[in-house]
Amino acid sequence: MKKSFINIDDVGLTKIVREGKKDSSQAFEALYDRYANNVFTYCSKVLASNPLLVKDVFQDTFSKFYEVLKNGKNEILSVNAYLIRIARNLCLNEMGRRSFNTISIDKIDISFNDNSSESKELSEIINLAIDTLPDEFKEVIVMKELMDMSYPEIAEALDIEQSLIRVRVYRAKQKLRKILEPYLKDFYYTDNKILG
Amino acid sequence: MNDNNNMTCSEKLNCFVDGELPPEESGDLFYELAGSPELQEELRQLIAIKNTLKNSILTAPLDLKADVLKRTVYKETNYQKLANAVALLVSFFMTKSSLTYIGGSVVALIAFGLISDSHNIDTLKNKDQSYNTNVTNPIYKNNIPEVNSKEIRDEHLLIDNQSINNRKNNILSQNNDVSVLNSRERSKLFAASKDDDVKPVKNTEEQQYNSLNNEDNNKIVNVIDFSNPYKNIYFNNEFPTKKNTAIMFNNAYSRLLNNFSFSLKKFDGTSYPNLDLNNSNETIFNNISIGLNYNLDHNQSIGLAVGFENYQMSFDKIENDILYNYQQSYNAQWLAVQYNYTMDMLGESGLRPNFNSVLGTTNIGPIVKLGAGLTYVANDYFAVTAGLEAGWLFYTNNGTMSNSKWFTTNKLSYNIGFNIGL
Repeated sequence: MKKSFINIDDVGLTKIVREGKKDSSQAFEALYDRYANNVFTYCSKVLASNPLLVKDVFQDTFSKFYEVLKNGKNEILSVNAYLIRIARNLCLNEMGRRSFNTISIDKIDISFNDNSSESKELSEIINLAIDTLPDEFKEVIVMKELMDMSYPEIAEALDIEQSLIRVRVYRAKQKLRKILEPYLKDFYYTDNKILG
Repeated sequence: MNDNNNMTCSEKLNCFVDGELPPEESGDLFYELAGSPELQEELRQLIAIKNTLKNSILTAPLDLKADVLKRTVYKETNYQKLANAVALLVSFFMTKSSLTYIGGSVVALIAFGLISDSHNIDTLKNKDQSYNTNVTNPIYKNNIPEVNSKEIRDEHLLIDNQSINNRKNNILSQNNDVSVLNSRERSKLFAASKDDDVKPVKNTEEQQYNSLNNEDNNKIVNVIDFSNPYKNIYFNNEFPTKKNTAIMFNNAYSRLLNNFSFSLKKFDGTSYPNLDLNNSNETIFNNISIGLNYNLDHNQSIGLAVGFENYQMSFDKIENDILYNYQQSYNAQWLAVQYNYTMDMLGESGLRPNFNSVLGTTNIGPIVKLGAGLTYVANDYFAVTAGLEAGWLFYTNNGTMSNSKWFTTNKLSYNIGFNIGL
């Protein structure tokens, strides 16, 4: 049954859900399948210090999205960006309500054990480094690098100018580079796997 | 971007790596790049970060999908909730006699089938569980012990965006001879969250996984097993466990309903004493039992059952100082409580040994039955059973408890039947 929705774009699926047609349940399910991983990734990274909240926020995000679709008030240009916007608001609410532990850069102290596991360790280091970034940088890096969203999509999700997104992504990466510089050098001078 | 001209070379380089730099700006950037070792170094680092994070997207735990759909598209209406509650009450309290018990059960079953849409969610969840997505959630790593689990996915369910993306990237990486680093994709931790049911991986499968995990490239770990499409779906496991139920349902009675199963058994055998008498000519309600079971956990269930079973009786009775030996074929109608213990599946055969006991009453005396057999789990809602059982019907020679002598008829029977999960 799902296969019939593969060729329908997001606008078509949201229209089916809005109109409450016979296939609306499957259409919503198809939308879920397309963006669940993105939303989960965003929630997991932004709420990294409080993982117990991730599931709640994740579910609330799709519940609110469904309500929006059924109410049919707001026009949704990009489902991906819209979902992330909802998730972001919910995350901000939770973060405002609770105290969160931040991860110190000092904790990134992983030494390479052997060459075969270097790539794996580098990935872990980079992900830890992302967790240490300030929230405004962390979320754009997550959206850009993990979720592969474009600058316009990120701008729509965060409701800010594209130029500001570009600057934030740039600054976030500079911070990452600064944290990771010794590891990156060590890595690609001893093992050139990354650049192929 | 209107302000591209104000960007530094480093910013342009960042946009270039992100695929956001307009083509007309690329020429200037390459010119600068050729003459600047610092920019070249920066480019290497940016590409290293990008490649390392490529495909690091997390996979949403599978149980969340059922939860989300339950809260949205399959949300129960108040009418459905009321109907479910009424059906449950009917099934429990209409047990004054066999017929009303059957009536109550039938009403309940119709109500479950026609009104409740809860089973749709179960089906959905089971489909989800058959996905073989590499679920790895690093944020849970510190909170739960590392365990391995494996889910089987049907080939026709292979279509999901993440898998498609992974495959594309895999093909790209192989074609371009570029190793994409992705340690998370190769994690042994397949269970997505601490709430997931985790089934142990057998040695052979574990070894297979380990060999795949040790490869340097980013291969998708998909093991498709067509030998038994339902081998990961245990009949009782899908609706009795508290964990599953808690995931699926928000309200108490829905949780309760989800643990019920309906059973039908047809049996035949030999009574001892074995008399040369014709059995009851009742065609339908003879040597048959119908039960409604509540699953306590993965292995145990209790329930109520009504049965119509032919026993041959022989008893002595003194009438007018003359001893008579009465022999008769009696179609006993019994109402009983039953307890079933179903063992875990035998390998991947779909077969589960079961043991059951029945303790009930007829209008002439108590009845006890003990049995053992095999259950074949056809799918998550249907199982076929077969087995042997021994029954004891106790009765008196004058139909009363006082001043009477007790007699017993034993009966050895075979039975076949089926279970239907609600």
